[in-house]
Amino acid sequence: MEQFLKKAIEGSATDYADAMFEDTRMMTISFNKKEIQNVSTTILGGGRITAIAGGGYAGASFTRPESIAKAVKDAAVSARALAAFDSTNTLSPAPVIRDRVVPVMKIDPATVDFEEKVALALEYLDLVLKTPRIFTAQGSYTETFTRKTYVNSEGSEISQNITLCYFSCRMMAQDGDQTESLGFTIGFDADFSKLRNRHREVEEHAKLTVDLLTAAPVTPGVHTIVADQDLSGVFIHEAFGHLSESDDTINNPSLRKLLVLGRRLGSDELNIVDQGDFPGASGTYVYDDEGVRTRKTYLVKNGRLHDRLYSRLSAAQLNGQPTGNYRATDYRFMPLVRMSNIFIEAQSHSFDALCNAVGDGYYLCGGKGGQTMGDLFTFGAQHGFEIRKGKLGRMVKDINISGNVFETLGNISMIGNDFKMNEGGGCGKTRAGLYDMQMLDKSGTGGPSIVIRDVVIGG
Amino acid sequence: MEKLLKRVAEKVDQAEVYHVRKQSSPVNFYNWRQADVLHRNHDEVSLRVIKNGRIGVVKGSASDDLDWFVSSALRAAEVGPEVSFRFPSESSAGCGGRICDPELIDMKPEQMVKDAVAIYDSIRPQAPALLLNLYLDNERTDVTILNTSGKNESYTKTQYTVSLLSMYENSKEGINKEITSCRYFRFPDDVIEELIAENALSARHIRVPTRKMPVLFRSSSTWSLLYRILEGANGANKVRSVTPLKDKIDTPIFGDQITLLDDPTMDWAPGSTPFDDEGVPTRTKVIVDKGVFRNFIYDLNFGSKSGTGSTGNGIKRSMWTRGIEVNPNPRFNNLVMQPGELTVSEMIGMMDEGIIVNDVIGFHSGNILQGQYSMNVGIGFYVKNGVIAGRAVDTMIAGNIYEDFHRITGLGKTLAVNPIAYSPDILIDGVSVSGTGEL
Repeated sequence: MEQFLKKAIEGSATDYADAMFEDTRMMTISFNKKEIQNVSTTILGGGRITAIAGGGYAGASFTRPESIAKAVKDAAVSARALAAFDSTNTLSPAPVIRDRVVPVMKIDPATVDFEEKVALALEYLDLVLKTPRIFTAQGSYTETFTRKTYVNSEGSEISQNITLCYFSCRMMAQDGDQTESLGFTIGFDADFSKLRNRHREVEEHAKLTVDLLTAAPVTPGVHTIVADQDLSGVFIHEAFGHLSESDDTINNPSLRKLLVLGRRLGSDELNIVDQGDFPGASGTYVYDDEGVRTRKTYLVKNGRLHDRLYSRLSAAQLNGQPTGNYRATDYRFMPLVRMSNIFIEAQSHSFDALCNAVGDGYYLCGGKGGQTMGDLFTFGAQHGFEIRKGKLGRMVKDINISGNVFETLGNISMIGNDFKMNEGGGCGKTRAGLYDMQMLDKSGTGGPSIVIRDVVIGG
Repeated sequence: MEKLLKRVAEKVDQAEVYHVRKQSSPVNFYNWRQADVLHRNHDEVSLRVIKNGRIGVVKGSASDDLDWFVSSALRAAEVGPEVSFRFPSESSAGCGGRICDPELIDMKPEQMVKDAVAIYDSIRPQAPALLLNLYLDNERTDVTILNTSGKNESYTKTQYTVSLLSMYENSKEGINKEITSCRYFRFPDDVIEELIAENALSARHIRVPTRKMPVLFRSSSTWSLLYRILEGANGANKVRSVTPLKDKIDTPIFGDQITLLDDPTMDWAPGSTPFDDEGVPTRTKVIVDKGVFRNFIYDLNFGSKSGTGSTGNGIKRSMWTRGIEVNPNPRFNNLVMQPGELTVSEMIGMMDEGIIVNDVIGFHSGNILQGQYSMNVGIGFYVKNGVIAGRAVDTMIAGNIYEDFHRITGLGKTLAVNPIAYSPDILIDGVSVSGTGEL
């Protein structure tokens, strides 16, 4: 495949070209309660060319290998044509890489029998369904095997085998007219062994769904909260992480001014990190879609803005160093600068100390996904507990949090010691509205529990 | 594709091949200065087989490796769920509306660059400092479906999309105006003017008080509410007995201003189609008639389970997918909410104090099936004494469509398309608003 791709971009009449071809085979076994609802096999095979010519930038994606010559031509012609409008595209230097990457795992899901995958999923679904008041559950086991080959005109040749397996479940509990629904994901890594022996956590998720039936709605207003690891991860992804994606900063003078490196965003305790090589995390990978190796990047260090996430393209515009964050969902999209695994680094405070610092407020748990609109963010919490005089009280639900990113980062007043990465994840990004939306599964979040003052909570 | 169907047909009881070819060239412009384009040339296929009453599905990019498709589908069918439907044979002749514009078929990508430059040129004299990204796409989709019941039908759909995103100071996002249609169009001047005006009005930030007040959902945001109806009227949720509408056929669920049709015959509507993704001919259905719930929507599978049959709503994509990525699910083809008689300014004038919502963030929050929503006002405005006072910041709205749609006090007179429906602007009284302003 390397030779095929190299040959295709040779003599492409561009200043720079790269070619990627990937073959992804995905299988999902979905269950309705304890019945197999579907076994669905998906093949995504296709490639993408990107080219720079005269400073213009364009790409072409295709499914049939024999279409590659046309794709190279389309990309080259369009790059040259667009240069009339925008001739600013150049690449920041990056090492030429020749590498083959294979996933690290104790148990390769490809070696596990279909029957065993079904049996494991059924064990978990059985635990969920025998929980009183749980009346239905939909589960799924998913595995994907990707072989991805990348070459560029500078001489890089990279092949990566990427494996992923996970079990997801959505449960519904009912009491009269009242229903509550919660979901969870376990695994989300190459290693099948991470799916085994998770019974206790599955039971806890089911119990939580049932407990939500009797939880009180949260009181809307402005409160001081402890966010658990899951929620603090979602918060830092949504509220801050997206602003660190430098491709959006290039042409936005006000954002460039706002996000000047060295600017104070939070207390000395606040360190925010994006780390694509975090072992075993949901957003972990080795090389991005420009063939740049991922790394650990301090976005905020000791409370001050320290760095950004870059592609080679955006690094060249902003005098940064490529961070290996230029990623597309698959061959059907242009890459964008995306987070890998983002989190706040742990500090020394115990969970009890955080609650004591809150006094009266809420302990909010579980990110329910969220979105940002520039300086505004919102996301849901799965559930929470009142904190009264530093002690956890009754359970609450129907929680949404919103606010201004910069105010809220400044309002992080304490950072805990209970660091944990979340399993599962995913992220949507658009640069021009809904039709431009690109959903990316491999995006991880995590962190310690944190205290945030003056959070707007809506019911 | 005939080859694939032929190869698999003798090994199974029933088979279906669904083929989609998509060609497009989305062009992005970033704030006057940068641009890129991605040519897309994608062949996608799904193969469904039924053997011994069990179904197996394979889908994805088309490959010449037909054996892999066949063997994967057969293996999936061995353990697949039991189904009791037949793939359809009836012709869809006469179904659907006009969805293929020859002008778009012949259009070169250069035209999109011209259109983008024209948009920039029309904005520059009025608002030279406005940060503005553009997205334009001309997509051609060729669909063919074949099955062992004898179906062999095709259609071609064109779709032109133009999206403008102006960005606020200190922000990556701001006012978004997007239009999509199966017919070529020039982006309307009045929408550009509205974008410029709304951007200017946003300069003043208002901290909104926490109380119940009228909320005007612009048609660009109503999809977040109508998504709840999609889940409620989804036949899969009826079969699973999880929708609150399960016993509500011919019962009022909303105020009598609300009429919702699933209309696959509407000319140039991106959701219009002669047959659904399972080959079932489509037809117009009343979902809600003057507030009264009339019909669930079904695909082949859930239609057979409910005993009513498919309503021509088996769709093989979800809101965020582009290709054939999900198994068929009941979805609206082209949901249309009947308009009212009011202009935007008339409805704003009706509000003593209220919120205008252009875009929401967090549409998935709240118990969707039960009709609940709890969303942040992404882009919105605060109205005082019938006049827009400024941008509503840190504002959340919450409610339940099965209650709120009884308190509609105004419907806009024009329809605009959003990801779920053609919808008018909707003015609802007494929505729960929470913010950080004075109490």
